[in-house]
Amino acid sequence: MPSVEVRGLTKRFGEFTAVDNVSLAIRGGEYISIIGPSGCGKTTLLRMIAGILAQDEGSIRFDGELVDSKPVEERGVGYVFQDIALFPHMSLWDNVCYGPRARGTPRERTRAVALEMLEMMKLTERHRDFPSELSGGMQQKAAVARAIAPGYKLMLLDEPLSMLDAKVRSQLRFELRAIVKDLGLTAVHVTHDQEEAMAISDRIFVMRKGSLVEHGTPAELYFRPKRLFTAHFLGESNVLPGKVLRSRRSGSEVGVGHLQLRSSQVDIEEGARVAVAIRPELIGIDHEEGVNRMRGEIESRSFEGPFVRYVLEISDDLFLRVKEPVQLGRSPRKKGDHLTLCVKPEHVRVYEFPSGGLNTEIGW
Amino acid sequence: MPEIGLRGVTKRFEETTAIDDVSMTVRDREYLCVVGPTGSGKSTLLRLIAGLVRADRGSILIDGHVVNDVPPERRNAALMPQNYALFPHMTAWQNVSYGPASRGLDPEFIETRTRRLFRVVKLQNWAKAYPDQLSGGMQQRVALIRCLAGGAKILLLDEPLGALDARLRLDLRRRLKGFARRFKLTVVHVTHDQAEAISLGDRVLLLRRGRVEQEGTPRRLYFNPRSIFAASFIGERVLLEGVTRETHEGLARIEVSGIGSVLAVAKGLARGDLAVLSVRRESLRFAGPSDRDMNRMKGVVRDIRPLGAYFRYSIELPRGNLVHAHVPSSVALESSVSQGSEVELCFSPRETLAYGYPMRGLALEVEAL
Repeated sequence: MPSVEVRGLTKRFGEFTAVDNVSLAIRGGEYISIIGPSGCGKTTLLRMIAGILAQDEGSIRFDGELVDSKPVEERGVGYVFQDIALFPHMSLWDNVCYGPRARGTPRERTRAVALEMLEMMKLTERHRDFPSELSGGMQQKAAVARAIAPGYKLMLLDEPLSMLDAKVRSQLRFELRAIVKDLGLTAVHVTHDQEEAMAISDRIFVMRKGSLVEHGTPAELYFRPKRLFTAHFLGESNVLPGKVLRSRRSGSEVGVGHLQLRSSQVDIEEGARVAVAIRPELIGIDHEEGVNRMRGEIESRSFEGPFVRYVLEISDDLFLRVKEPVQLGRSPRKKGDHLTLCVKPEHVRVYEFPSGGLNTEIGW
Repeated sequence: MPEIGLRGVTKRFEETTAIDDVSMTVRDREYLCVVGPTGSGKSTLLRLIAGLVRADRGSILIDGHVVNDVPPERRNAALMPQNYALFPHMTAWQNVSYGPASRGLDPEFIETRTRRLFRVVKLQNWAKAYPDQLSGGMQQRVALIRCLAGGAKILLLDEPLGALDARLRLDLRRRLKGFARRFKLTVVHVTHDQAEAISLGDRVLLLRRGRVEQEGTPRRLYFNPRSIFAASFIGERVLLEGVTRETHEGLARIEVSGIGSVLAVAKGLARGDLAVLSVRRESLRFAGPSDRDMNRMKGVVRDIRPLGAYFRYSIELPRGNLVHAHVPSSVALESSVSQGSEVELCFSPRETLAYGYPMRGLALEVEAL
């Protein structure tokens, strides 16, 4: 399981800088994903790592060894595309054996590997079928099997699940992670789906406009994002303009509209203009106790399955989105109901107010 | 009144029956989401209403009139196909006004309506831009108003959000509904994403192999799926197999190997019947001392993954099978349960639904997704 080290990678297309001086290090055996809005450069970065695309600047190392001058076929990477690229005129068995055969792997060995792959994907019984006879999910699993079969230890996956039905997608992501972990592979997975990234990866790298914004474990990025962009892009956040009223070693107090909110964040300057981010599902409703209490009136509500989502009017110019776990049997809260809300100080995230304004910072 | 009705409609393509004796109604200004797996007939249903394919049997009504022989452009219905393509050599404005203009509609009407449409989707400053100068979300909005430029009151959407980034999809979901209300539209929205259907639809219709499996409010489909197929398609659930021991007034006691006795809401089960139990993943909780009259199962936590608004706990039951519990993040962050912990889960009998064991086996029934 190779480690991957990328240093100062840059790629330009004419005037446009698709990837701008990106550096990242991936440990052997890690499953990482790269997320970001369309056009952020994530696929371009992946293609440079694969060797499909040559960088303008920077270097790429696998296990410490420079691979910049190696063409794609010599880099020893398995690549899975967004649109399933099985050979339509070959059976599933021949598709999976294709790579090992092309590399001159002995017959017995090829057979053993193909069997192992199909077993792992739970597709053994379908080995005689042609791609068109398999469901979308099966085809994409077969594509993964084919990419791994030559014995590559580094998997690069470009939106591998995005063409599948939502239901299949949400099941397959966990299977994909289990397979990669069982085989001890290193995987780099590009996706625009934040939930997929959280489900599948050990660490997530967030990209925006060709640059890395930040990286961390799913829990770090979701609950303690260092950047406002991440707080907004990964999941969702209420983002509100505010001002630091007090800053102490134990935490700070931020004014948002007429509210004074306690935040556990330290090292922010008193008097500074800030942006405050609060996740809708981390706002408590009608707790007996709790800090950062506020009152609000339900302006609208929508049923979203596991959660009910409310927009609450706190004051004329302050609205909060709140998500509450759904409960069968409890009479639903209605538009116009008054609720008492509270938020723990650790869930009140405070960021320097973006110099270009909120819309520029969290829009894309 | 822009209402839609289907009466016993069937459509075959050679050997396959894409739509099989479907009857349904969409009321004036209703937002109906049609959901189902690939190949369930969703797009065909939409194309039948639009008039792009002809029904083999049955009748299609719009505004109370049978329209089987009415051409698409006179049905008061606009279809936005899955792969809508804007004309790349035309500006956004030209893309929107082109259709009505070529049909010879009054230029003044076109001008007024086009202007209003651009304003509603907040693209008035982008009317002169070419498609490649617009973001994916903007292009999608232009395509949407292009459908409505001719004045149609029925909007037929085929996976309108499918091609977009996950994040953008969530934002546009909400705007789409507001847009439909504002223009007083009757909408049929086709999607494979059950979460999208649940959160957008006034009503949801679940299709399976060309037939209506279930229809009703989002809450109804979510809490009371009428079949094991509906249960496994809508929402995320734990499925357990067992044997019915006794039944009493809509409740059944079911013996599940490795867990023991489980009480469930059941219809049509009799003593001795094989059953499948379905429990929503988010209705599983870690048992506390005050939990009474609850079903319980013990297991060992094998994996914990934060997925945003909730955590997914994978718990191995005594027989070795895994169940996944979805715990709200606000609860999970405070919990001391960790990998390797022995836990007891509890779940309410009212939220445990029992169905007869499917004839062709559970895997086939559910994997037909």
